[in-house]
Amino acid sequence: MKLKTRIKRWIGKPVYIEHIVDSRSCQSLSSSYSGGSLAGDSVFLITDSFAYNTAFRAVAQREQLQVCCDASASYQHVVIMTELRSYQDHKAIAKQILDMAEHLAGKFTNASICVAVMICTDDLVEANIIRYKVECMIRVMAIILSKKGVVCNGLYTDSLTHLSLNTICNSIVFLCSRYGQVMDGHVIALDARG
Amino acid sequence: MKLLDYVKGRLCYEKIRPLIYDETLRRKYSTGSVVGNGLSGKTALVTGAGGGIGRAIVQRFIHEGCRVVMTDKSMGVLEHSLAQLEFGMNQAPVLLPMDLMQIDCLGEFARKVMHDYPISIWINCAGMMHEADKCGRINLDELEWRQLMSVNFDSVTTLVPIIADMMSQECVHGCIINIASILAYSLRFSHTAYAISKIGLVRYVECIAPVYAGKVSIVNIAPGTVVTPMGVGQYQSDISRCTNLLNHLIIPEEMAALVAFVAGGGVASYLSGKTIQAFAGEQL
Repeated sequence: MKLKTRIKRWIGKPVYIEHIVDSRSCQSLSSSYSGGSLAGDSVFLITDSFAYNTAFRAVAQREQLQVCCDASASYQHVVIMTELRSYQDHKAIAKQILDMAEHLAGKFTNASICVAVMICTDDLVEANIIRYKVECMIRVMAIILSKKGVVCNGLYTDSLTHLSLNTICNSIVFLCSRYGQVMDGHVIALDARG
Repeated sequence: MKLLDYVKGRLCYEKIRPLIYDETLRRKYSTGSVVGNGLSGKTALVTGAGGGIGRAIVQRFIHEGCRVVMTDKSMGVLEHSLAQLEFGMNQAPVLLPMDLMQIDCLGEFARKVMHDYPISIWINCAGMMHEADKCGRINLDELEWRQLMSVNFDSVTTLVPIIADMMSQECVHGCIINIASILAYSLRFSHTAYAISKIGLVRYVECIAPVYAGKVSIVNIAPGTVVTPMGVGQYQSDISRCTNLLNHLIIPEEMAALVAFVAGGGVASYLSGKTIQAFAGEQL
């Protein structure tokens, strides 16, 4: 250890950095995908699809997770469900993540942003570029957001994968929960390549 | 006064708030279902169930209503592990000693256990690391190298085709999960033999999963540094570290929940052949 560091530790004052851990007690819910850790929390859902909105609200109700309609309300989680057709569209998501992070920063011990991307293009090259861009974006965003105490993770799927909306929403719920914190910066690939 | 404030400001240093991995924290990460009862009534086998992540997986699967077969190298290890588990009247796990270094005997063992129990989930969690491997060179002698490779890699490549073949013959979709490691992605010149065995596991699953597509899902999960006897950190100790984005070591119960979600959350077939990186942005 450097001499300067030793002196600081000896006579200096520590400034504590908080760790990201959800150690609240939670009720046990049957048929939950979050271990009941989202019960009583609020989520702000960003989506342009009526089908996604309906499916997620049904899952949120089961988890006793309140879905907010107002961006200025108080919420612990943000879920972005969107379809991408071009690799250039991800910039809008990045901006949304940063805006939402400001809202969540330092307020909660269990704040999270989960991005679910449905890749809707038949062009294989375009689809691969979108995949890698989404993965890189989440990885970088997670590094930035961790300093604000916010977890950022996500998943993607594609139009070839006949994955039910219910399964996608269940996965989002898991990622938003305390058990999804370990996936900070990671994107789960639920695509046809499996 | 300004000078004093300046000096005080310069003397401040950043420190991560301590986090003790105790019974309270362990319990909070063990409660509630993460699979919507998707594991209820199923039977799972866990290798390396004598401690660490393996034991946490057993506890999680019992909690999810799953029947569990625990395997480890000796009955003594299994009984010690069993004493630390909580389970109901009809949930007692089955204990089966299995030495993964005896590669020649594994096939027979796997066929017998698959015949005796309706196993639809097989979790290869056993792993070993030699102290000498933690240095920056391959310091292992021939015997140590063979032991490490037997447990971490050869046992998996021996067991997976046998289990997958037998699962394929059943009507129920099977799931095999292997615990890899962040070291498979590390560029650090330490834990060399261990890292080689784990990157081998990652590539092996990429190759074999398509063979059983639609019948058996084969998935890897690569955890970061977990609080286990093999890793770093100890029960009842401070696990705060600045190595990952969460500022604390991963606790085994977090990994167990992820394994349960992959096995019973309805996503396994979409993840087959892939490795889930569960290390929260950890940098080694």
